[in-house]
Amino acid sequence: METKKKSSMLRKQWPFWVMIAPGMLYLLINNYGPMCGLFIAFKQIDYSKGIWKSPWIGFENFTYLFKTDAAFLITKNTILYNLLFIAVGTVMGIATGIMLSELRKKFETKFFQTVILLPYLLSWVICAYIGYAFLSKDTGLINGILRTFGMEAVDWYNDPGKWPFILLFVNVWKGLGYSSIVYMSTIIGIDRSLYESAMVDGATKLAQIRYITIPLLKSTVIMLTIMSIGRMFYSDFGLFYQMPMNSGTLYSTTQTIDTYVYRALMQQSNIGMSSAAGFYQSIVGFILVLTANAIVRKFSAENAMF
Amino acid sequence: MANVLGRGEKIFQVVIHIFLILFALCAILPLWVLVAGSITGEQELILEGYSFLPKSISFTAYKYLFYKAKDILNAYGITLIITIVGTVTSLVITPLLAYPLSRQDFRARNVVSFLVFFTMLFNGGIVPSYIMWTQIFHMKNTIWALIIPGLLMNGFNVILMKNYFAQNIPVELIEAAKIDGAGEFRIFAKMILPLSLPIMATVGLFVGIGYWNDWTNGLYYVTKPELYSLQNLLNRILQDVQFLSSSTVSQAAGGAASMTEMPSVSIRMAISVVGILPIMVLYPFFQKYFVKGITVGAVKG
Amino acid sequence: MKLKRVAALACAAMMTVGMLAGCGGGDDAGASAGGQGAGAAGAAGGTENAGGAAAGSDDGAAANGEVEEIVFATFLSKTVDMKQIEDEINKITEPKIGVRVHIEGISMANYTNQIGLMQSGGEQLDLMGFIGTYSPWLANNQLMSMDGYIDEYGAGIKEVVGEEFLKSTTSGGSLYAVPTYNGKAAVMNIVLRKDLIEELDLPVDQLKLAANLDEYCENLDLIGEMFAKIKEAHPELVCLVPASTAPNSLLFTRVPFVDNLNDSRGVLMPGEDSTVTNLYESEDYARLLQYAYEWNQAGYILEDATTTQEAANTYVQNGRTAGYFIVGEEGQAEQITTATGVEVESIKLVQPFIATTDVNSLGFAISATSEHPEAAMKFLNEMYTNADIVNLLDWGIEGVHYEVKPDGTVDFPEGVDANTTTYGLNMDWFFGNQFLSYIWGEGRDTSVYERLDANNKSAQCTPVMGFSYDSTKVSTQIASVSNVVSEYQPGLECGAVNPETELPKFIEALNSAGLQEIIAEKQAQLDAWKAENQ
Repeated sequence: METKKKSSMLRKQWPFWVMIAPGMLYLLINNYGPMCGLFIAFKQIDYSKGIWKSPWIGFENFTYLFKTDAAFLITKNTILYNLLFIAVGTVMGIATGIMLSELRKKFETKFFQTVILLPYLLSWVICAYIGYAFLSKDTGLINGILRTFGMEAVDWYNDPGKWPFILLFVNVWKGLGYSSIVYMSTIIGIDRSLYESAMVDGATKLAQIRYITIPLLKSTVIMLTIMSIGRMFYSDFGLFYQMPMNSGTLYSTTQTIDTYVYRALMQQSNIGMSSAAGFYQSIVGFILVLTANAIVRKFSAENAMF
Repeated sequence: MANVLGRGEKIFQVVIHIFLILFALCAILPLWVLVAGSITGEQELILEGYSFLPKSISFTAYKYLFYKAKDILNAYGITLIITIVGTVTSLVITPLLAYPLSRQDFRARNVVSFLVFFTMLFNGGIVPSYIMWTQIFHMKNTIWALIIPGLLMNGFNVILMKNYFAQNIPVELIEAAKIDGAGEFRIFAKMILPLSLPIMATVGLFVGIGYWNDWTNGLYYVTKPELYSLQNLLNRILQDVQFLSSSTVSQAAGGAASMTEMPSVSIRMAISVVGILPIMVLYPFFQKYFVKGITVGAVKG
Repeated sequence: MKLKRVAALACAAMMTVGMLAGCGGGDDAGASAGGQGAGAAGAAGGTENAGGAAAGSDDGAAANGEVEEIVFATFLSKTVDMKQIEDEINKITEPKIGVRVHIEGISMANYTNQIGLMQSGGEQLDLMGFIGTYSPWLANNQLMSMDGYIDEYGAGIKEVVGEEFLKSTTSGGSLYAVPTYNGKAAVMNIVLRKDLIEELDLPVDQLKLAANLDEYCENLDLIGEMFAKIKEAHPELVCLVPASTAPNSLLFTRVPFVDNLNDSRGVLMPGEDSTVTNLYESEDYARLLQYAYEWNQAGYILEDATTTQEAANTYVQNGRTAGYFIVGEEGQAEQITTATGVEVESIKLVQPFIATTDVNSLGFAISATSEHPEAAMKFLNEMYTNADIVNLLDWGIEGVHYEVKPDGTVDFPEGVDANTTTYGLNMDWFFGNQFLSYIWGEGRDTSVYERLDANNKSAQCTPVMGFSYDSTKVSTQIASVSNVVSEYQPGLECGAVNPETELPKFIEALNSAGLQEIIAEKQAQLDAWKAENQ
């Protein structure tokens, strides 16, 4: 019933299938199962009829994302912030990962790593309170210091020009621990003998980093970047909503797709419209990822994701 | 290895220390402000504002939480259980899925990789997930609802591991083992895993933090107070405060709702200190194994 | 070598687990067992629900023959265990009306989401409370018409709430919900510290119940003068802090006698009963914004008004502010004094005006997915007529959570206080008929309910009581307009920006976001409604 070759191949492959079975089963249930629900984005939900029998309304749930003056602004902000975060976050993550791995005393590695990771553990609501403790006009630390030096207090929450920097800082501050650990685990995995032979050849520390570490991080960087590109149309709701304390005057630099959707649907509970937003963000991300992956495949096939 | 440091090396060490100290300060200072805020007398906060060194120290905020000690301890218990069970399970199924994907001779690797990656781009949203977990799997108000939905495994960690395996485990090693007659499972357990401690530790850390910090599963799937996890409990307090003072309620209930007791910001800060304090205490212990894992992996060459 | 590493890994893993488990100690085991027990109980509950009355009939058989179990969803202002209350309620309702109620307490912040999830997931849900979501729920068909049940099982409700207020939850001739019966005639109040009033001899008695905008502005002028006096005597104080957040607002900029027709996007201005107009474009609104701006310039308003997250009472308690504006009814000052320990006066500034949303913003409805609407209605009827049920929901169990004091009020029993109580929702303004409940706080004036009830009956109501509009057709515009409002409103209403330059921008942004289309849609619906109802 089977050719010899085929059966021998099957014999070789079955352990792999057994290994991936539990994980794939989980993804199938946890991720692919609910994806059946994406159709909600095209429905006008009528609870008395239930989700399945609610009427279809085509793309009507999507119009609010485009038919608005804010459409350009929110798309622009979302994309620009993502690009900024990817670029700065990657550089800072790599730099910190390298620095952590270069420390000679174990307790130092431990200490710095723990400390830098701490902000990652805080919820956004709390980060916003801390931010407020620094920036508040009436009771904030920074303005308190400015006042003691006789300087004018700064109205941070009413000055949109300052927020790209604040948001970038906060984003890096919160995410640095996480990303540096990702890079560090890769760096630690690098074969030490490479460095030893480089040292024998008299390579300086910087040269070692430049010619050994960074090239070996390339595939991790590409992988993480492709993954971030998939989330290009998403933004961290907590960062953009909680941090600026929902201050209206800052919208020009803090409004993103996610905050817009949240504010749009506050007055109306409409799961069709919120699903539509998620669907739109995913589809665009999907297309961007396919494109990015195709480009990577062309230039360095071994780094392509799939 | 431990040769005398050259001059360049010394400068390099000084420079990285300067940077790391700077980063550490950036991380610690805000946390200090949080802790200071939670022990500053409320009156001082309101009248004079925040400061690095509060003049008046008051533990009112913690006293408020002390009365909820029973709930909070119970919540710690739940959080510990879900974090341990979830992380251990995740560290079994994640590498099992990631490893074959790193093998060039696994024929379906591209398709499966894509299927894994796809889950990171699309999600069905909360409505279908909720229906599935509550109606098909009957998880509402069970501890499983805190462990299984969403958190057990994610595409990001799988791909992270796959990438590590592909990069750091030489194909020749596997081939050699095969020639010695080792089966795939034996190779995986006896060779791959020991060589992968850094990534296991990393993913374990991320998954563990994910469980520790999660409150959304509890929010949707749990209404029984005895099943509240720590973050779920703390977030309920925080979010309900925000909602209670929101214009929706004040408009709806007239002035009446505003008379409901509302914890001040210093209490809210204390709440979050309670949420991260155990991690700050426990993490160094855990990190012993984390760093060990990393160094064990590092001497492999 | 290899073996050693594996052993090391296993060791590390086990030690981690061991260490973590060790820290938790016996507590974990207990919690875990509890978790599983809860799971089993949940499952059992499920089958019981499915089996309906059959399973329940064992208990109540002797008395009534049949006990129906209903699920009653309500929002909680804090995390409490509703099970204790539920058990006590069932001791009353099972023999009396043959209904066993399961109270599903849901976190406030997630309430609307959770109800949507439960309904779309086919979970049992019969009765549900709501805050401000009556019209979206109506539009989404989340509510079941009560027509078939109210007369037979809910006669008490009709009597308590009365025709006029029931109009607010009636649509197309059918009743879809029942509003909470509490003080509905809340109006704008100025809250001021009593010590300041006495010290500076502030002429609070000259403030009058305004009957129109001009009189309201006279009040504001007078208040402005008082603020000036306060500021002069106490430069360290501010006079106003926001009394509501997200969006932050000082509240007094709400134009009196306006029917905001659900959402303020298109309103009936004072005296108007048919033409829908844009509130934000009105002169009245601009006039009030001017006060906010001037007061802000004069330093009367907290600098962080647009962003603060502290409650107004916290500012009062710690001596930062002289007062604030709030919408309130009788007994307001007493409540604030109890909450803050600071003596205040709360002075009403306008005559009451009740719009549809003032009535239907709080209430109870039967879920469209309910399979036990009669039982739900029977229970709801108890919430409006049975003082024992109301007190259980409002204050908890007598002797455990509260005790009756000699003056007829209730307060904490000995050894219990606000921190140690296991209930203390303080949501007497929500559950059914508030006037059946005890009054909290020893020494409080117990005649307050009579005054509230009298105000309800005497207050002027909107000419279009009962008109609720369905925004689904203009949901795109609503989405856009909501964003514009949250962008401009807090700044303008806290006086942080100059209305002369910002208000025109606001209006232009509203129009370009499609406010006119919303108004046109609302107008069409109002015309149709009037043709049908008046």
